[in-house]
This record gives sequence, C-alpha cells and structure tokens, in this order.
Amino acid sequence: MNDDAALVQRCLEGDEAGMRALVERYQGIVFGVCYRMLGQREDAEDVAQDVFLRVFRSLHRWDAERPLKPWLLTIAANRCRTALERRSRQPVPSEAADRRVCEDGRSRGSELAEELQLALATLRDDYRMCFVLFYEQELSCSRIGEILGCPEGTVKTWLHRARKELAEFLTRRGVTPAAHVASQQAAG
Amino acid sequence: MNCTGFERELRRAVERRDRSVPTDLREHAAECPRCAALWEQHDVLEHAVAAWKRHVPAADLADRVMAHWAFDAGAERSARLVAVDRSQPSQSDGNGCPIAAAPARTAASTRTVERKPGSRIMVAVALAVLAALLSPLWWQPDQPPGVGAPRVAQDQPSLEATRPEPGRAEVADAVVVNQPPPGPREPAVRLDAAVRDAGSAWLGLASQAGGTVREMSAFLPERALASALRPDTEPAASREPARWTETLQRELEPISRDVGKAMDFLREAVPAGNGRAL
Repeated sequence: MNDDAALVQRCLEGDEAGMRALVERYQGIVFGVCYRMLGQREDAEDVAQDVFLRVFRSLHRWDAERPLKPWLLTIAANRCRTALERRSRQPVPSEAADRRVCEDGRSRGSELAEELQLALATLRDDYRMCFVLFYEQELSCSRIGEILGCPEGTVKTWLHRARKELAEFLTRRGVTPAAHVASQQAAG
Repeated sequence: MNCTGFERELRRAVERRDRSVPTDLREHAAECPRCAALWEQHDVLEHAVAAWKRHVPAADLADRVMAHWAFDAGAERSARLVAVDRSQPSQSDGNGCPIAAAPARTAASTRTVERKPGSRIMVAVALAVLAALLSPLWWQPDQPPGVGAPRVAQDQPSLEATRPEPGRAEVADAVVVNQPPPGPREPAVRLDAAVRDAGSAWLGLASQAGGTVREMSAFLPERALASALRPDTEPAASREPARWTETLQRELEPISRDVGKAMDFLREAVPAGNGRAL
C-alpha cells in the first residue's frame, strides 16, 4: 500500500514514468475484469484505457489510507456497466450476432474455460460482475459489496444465482464431469 | 443431514472458498438424487472456474494509455511522447498483434479533417445555386448588365408619357435617357429617377386608398356604416356616409399638405437639369 501511495504521488506530480508504472502494475487486473465483463477483447481494451484515464484524472480524490486496488476496481466496474448499457442501447445486426455466436461456438466449444466465458455472457450484469470479482479477483463478499455499492447479503444472493445459472447453462451445453474427464484424457 | 442442510453447507463452502468437502455432504449426495445433481453441478462449475482463471488474455495498455493521456494533456506533451515512441521499437501484444500507439481520438480527428473537403464542396454548391437563383434580380438578358441602370431607363418612358412635353430639348433628353448609358452612370440621374418613383408611388397610393375607402362606403348600408364608425358619440340622425367621407378628407388634408411640402423640397433639392421631369 505504501508502494501504491508513492506511485500515486509520482503520478500526481506529473511523472510520466510513474503513470506508466501504475498502468503496468494494474493493467492485468483492470483488463481482466473488463474482458470478463464485456467478452470482447477490443471493447475490453477501450474500456480499460478509459478506466486508467479516469484514474489519472481522479487520483487527487483517492484516500491514501485505503487500498488502491478496490478503488481501481470500483472505477472499472462503473465503466463496464456504462459500456454494457451503451451496448444494450445500440441495435446489433442479427447477422453480426449470429456470426459472433458461430465463431464462439466453433473456437470455444472444446474448451471448458471458454464455455464458461460464453455462459457468463448470458448472465445479468450484476450477477456477472459479482461472479467475476469473486472468482477472478478473489475478493470477499463484503469487499464486493463496497465496490458495487450494495449489502453483503445481496452479493451472496447474486453469487449463488450466478453459479446456478452458469451450471445450468453448462449442463445444457453437455458439459458434465464425465465429459470433462473424457476430454482431459483425450488431451493427455 | 437433510437436503436443506446440504444446500446451506454447500453455500458456505462456496463463500469461504473451501475446497475440502465434508464427508457428511458426500454421504448425503450419494443417498439423495436431487442433492447429487446439485453436487454434480457444483463439481462441473469448480472445474470450469479453475480452467477459466488460468485462461487470462494478456494486454499491454501502457503505450496507448500514455499516448491518449498525452493527447489529452496538450500538443506539447503529445509531441514529446511521439518522439519517445519513435525511439522505441514497435511492441506487440500476446497474440503478436502490434499495439497502436496512436490514441483512439486521433482517428476521430482524422475523420473530422477528412470531412472538411466534402463540406467545402457542399458550401460551394449551395453558393452557386443561390447565385443562380438571385441572378435574375440584377441581370436581364435583353439589356447590358449594370447595377440598377437598365431598370431606371426602362421606367422612364411611362413617366414621360404622363407629362406634357415642354419642348424639343426635353424630348431629346428623354431619348438619351432611354438609350443604354455609354459609360458609368451619373448618380444625379439615378437620384432623380428614384425621387420621381417614390413621389409617384406615394401619391398614387394615397389617392388609391382614398378612392377605395369611398367605394367601400358606397357599398355599405348607411346604418351599419354609421354604427361601425361612430357607435355612441353622435345621434343617429347625424350619421351619414357623405359627411363621414368629408370628415375623412378633412383629416387627410394635413397629410396631403406634408406630402406636398416634401415633394416641393425634393423638386428644389434636385438640380434643374435632372429634375425636369418632375
């Protein structure tokens, strides 16, 4: 945390090397959340870039007594929600949507991880954010509640509903423990 | 353990990230088909999450974030950043794709610049159409182009025909006026024509208005006309249209005197040679 405070101080002084160091330190976390939430690399890169630009503009408001990572994730979560709302308002051509689904199915069908990423796209935004923060960032339910601005109990409810829906999706897609073991044996 | 206890313990294990499954949970799942299905789903999801967490795409955002930040900060900082970027070799992301150092807003600015020639063409076309529409106002094909000169010369014969000819010199002068001007137009002649036009128009308008009012009063019934013009101030016997028109003429007399004074002043102000037609 002290390291973060020193880095933030360099950024506030306009040190470009310090700003670059901050981006390099947290880009994996921020981009990971954005990619998990948005499901597309290009969109995730744009939103992650926007997150860091907003971080630079808002660094003077950061409380040095608190950890930097949850503050960054709060901004990332807000930007992802904004991007998802904007995306939901834009009409998606049916051909493009079909093509995306086909490409997803062709390239990810054999991979368990990509099956889960595909399943995540079907979740409600709140559920998805909760799931990503819990499993990707390994945050506690109380911390997720602080980031999302909701009670811990709500986070737990969202987490279990997300798990239930994901499991049902994977089951519908034919992903079972037996199939998983068989695919691992075939790969081995 | 019953099914409710099984679900509660399973949820706690998930929230605590506890991967060690108690034996009583396993025993209950082996006995209960419904809880066995829940356990199977939990197992699949745990495996999927483990694989999902390993599959993290890499991204190198430092260059583009700093480029965009420099772009926002100003031209000086942006130029400095471009110099730094050129001195460094091109970088690529995890998939071997080159990372665009230029900020996204640069592309938008380029599009804006590219739109400018089109807008200029549109403005030029609009101006050409406007000029084509307005050209009949100052140019007529049967007369040489000039600013206002042909119109004044065209109006001249009608004004001349309404007035008596004092002598040959005036006729010759009128013929000269009807011809196209050999050189630059004299301002005094144009002022003369303008004064004549304005005076004639004013007198014509005043006389026409008076005549129209008289004609209207003749068509209207006496009683209706009288009540409309003087509703309460006079008795019914005194409301006659003839008197009313006389009153109107009396009221118009000061205006007529003013117009006459103005015309006299204009006659005196215009030089004698040019104001002959008045």
